[in-house]
Amino acid sequence: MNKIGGERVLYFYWFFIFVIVAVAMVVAVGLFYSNPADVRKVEAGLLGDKIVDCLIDGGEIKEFDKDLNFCNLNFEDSHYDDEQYYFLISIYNFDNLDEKILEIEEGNDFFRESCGLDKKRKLPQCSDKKVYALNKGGAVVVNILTAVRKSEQNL
Amino acid sequence: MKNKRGENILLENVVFIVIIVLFISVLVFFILRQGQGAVIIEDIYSKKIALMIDAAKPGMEIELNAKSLFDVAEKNGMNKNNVVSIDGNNVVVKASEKGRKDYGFFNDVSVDVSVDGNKLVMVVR
Repeated sequence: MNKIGGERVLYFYWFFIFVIVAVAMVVAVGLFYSNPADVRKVEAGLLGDKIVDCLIDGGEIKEFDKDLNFCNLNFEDSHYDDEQYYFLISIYNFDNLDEKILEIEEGNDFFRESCGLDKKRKLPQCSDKKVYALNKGGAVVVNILTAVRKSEQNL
Repeated sequence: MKNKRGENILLENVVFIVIIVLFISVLVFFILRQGQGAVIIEDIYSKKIALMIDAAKPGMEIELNAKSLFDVAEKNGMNKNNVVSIDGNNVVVKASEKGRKDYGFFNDVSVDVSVDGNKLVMVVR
């Protein structure tokens, strides 16, 4: 008789455990889906790829204007008053990496300082690419830092 | 008397198992349904399409299987042809009458969007 009573208590205990697990799962799934997908890191990477494609052809740096108009980039976004993109291109001499040949910067330059602070998700997300190329016969290293903010649409 | 007690134990176990199975089924149904809401689908597709356009070059034609988006949109009474559109440099996805999600792309190209069955066809110019 006591054994049956004990089993009944065990049923409630099991049911209680299931309820706790279920509530935890519902809360976790709800939290997961209530946040929009964060694609800023991918977007910053694509911006870097686009700049590489635009600057370098067949391993050689093209002749280009500093305003990079030919890259077909449009940083205007109707959702925001200020620019949500940033890029910094730094070209160094391969034989002497302290010698900076050229630097081009465009977009919101406040984002530059926030790169590397990945843990702060509200800050812009960045991508850093390093490419080796030829420039007028000499080897150069091209560093491309890109950043995308758009926090309101991604968090 | 002994048999009756055995039947009771069996019945209690069966009821307990049925309740647990029901419980897990409801839970799985809830989790599966969560990922299929119009708001989530709109958000995912607007970003997916914007990133595809960012990665594209003029002259490319992109085909994207958008069955899950069209299924949700049709369930909400939307015409497939009006679900995805391009407004300036924004991808606009509308899977329900009241909903709308847009996401910008930085690639300065013009994009023609059309629907072919469950595929979304984008021609980049």
